[in-house]
Amino acid sequence: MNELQLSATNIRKFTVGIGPFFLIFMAVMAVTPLIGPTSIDLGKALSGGFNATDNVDANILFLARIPRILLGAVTGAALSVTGAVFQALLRNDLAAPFTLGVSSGASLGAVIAISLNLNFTILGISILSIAAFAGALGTMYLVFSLVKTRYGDFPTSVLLLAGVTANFFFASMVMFIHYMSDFTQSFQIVRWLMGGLDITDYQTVWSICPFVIVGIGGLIYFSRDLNLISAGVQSAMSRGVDVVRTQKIGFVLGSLITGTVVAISGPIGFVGLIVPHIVRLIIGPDLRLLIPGSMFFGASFLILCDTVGRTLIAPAEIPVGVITAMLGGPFFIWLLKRQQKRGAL
Amino acid sequence: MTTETQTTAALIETQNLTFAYAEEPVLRNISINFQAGEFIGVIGPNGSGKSTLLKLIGGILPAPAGTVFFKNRELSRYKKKELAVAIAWIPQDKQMAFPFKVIDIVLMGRHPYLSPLSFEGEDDYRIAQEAMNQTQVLEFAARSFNEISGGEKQRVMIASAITQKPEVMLLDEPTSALDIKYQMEILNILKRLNEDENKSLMLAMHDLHLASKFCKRLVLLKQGRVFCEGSPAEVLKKEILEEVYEVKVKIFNDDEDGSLLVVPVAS
Repeated sequence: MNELQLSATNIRKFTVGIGPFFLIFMAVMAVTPLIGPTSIDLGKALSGGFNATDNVDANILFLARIPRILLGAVTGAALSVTGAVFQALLRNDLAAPFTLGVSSGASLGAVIAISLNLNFTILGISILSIAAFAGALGTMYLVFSLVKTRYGDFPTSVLLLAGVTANFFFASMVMFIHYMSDFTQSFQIVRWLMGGLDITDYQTVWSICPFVIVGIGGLIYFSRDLNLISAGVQSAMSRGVDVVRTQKIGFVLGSLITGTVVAISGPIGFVGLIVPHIVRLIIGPDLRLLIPGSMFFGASFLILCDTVGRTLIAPAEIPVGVITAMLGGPFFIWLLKRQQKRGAL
Repeated sequence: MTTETQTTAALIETQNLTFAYAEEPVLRNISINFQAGEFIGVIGPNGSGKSTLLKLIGGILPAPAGTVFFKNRELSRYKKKELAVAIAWIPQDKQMAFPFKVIDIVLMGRHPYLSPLSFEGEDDYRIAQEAMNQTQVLEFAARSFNEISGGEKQRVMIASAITQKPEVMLLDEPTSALDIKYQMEILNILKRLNEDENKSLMLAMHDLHLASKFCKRLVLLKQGRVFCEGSPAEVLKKEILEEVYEVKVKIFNDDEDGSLLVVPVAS
């Protein structure tokens, strides 16, 4: 094999692995805008131009569905990539932003920001996002220091216990703040806690994109280091990985993108658990493939869940978080049973 | 008259190495050195600090300042990837959390040679293939690491370390969980690496007979201290072992290869 053929094989390895997920993503992006309780005429929608206020089809397509689908893509990608990375860092496929309590930590941050009537921006970033990021990072730090042993292992039982504890604790804090807040805030909090992709416009989507892109890009950059850690912390050290630095980067970037999307969409559970798992079953545990694969599949998955949510009992809507939780609960139990069988618990 | 220490600079040296995980030191004042091409066995009772010593020398655990040197330079002053090319540490086999294939694990040894965002290239595959050939795991290349046997896993881990092309290989009880056939296979692989490729080896071992059979030099630890060191014949003596292991022993000599068989005596 010469140099050229070789680079071709590497590109091939990547495209064969990621290609199908990319194609699924493109198909979902193309089809789901046309699905909904109101059927729209694509020709008519595209004929009037973007700002045609009297063009109902265009309004539904461009102002209601597409921004929502874009938000679903960014949120699904962010949660799934975070799940894949947390699973690798903790070497446990039950780890995810939701099961570790990171999502609820982000919720607490956001709810505190709402209850204090904070709505300013720092460097163009809304305080809600910053608070959610701080909550996510704080939780990750808490859970990590709780489960870390000096041998670098994270026993499943301790991990889950830490996650559940963090979840309960933050949920009760959220309830407390909710209870203490006045009517307007209370409404805002409830609206936000229900989660969902419907509260959106293009501005919101563009505002979170940079963080998610930088976060996922950074994680892809360190994907081989993360890969080695997922095969064993001490072996990774011996093979030249700066484990402590990679762990920090992974947890910070994961918390950053989780906090960013949770600040907008509210807590959406189990996506980060289900998606990396399915992708791993198909293309294996190599994070150099698993991260981009989870990104495309996670985006597709959440858009599909939301499409089901907004059509199943139309004209009413089921929040997407309810759909993912209904799928995720049983899935989680299945994973747990499987680990038990393997003797990991 | 020049002293020996000047002419043969140590490859690895520990100076008064004391280390504690918590309060109580696990290792106390360990000063040993390790020349290029040596085959050293670290022996001692459970909890005597064998694994900890290997981890400190391998840079897996952080050693206190001024205690562990590779080529007269402190370990902490090497970049992580530089150190990975110098010293490989090989753990006991264990299950992975994720279903990596054998080839994936072996290729991970190439990490110090790769830049970020890159996949392994042709050279890396060739090196991995050679290493798997050497340790006779080539036929398992596509199998899941979690599904092969303990002895096969150990050979895969050794193959992975070979692809790092290190000067020193540290192995933490490479034969402890294996039956006698696998024990001999692993140790013969290591012997070839030592004799044919001049790899310097340090093994934590439990089996005193195998240690005497394969290692050129033994370091005997007791409660975190070096009790004695020297050739197998010098270290594996009745009075020494009885004091360290706190059990009556008999020692038999194998006339064929000069190895020593240590057996406990029922009291």
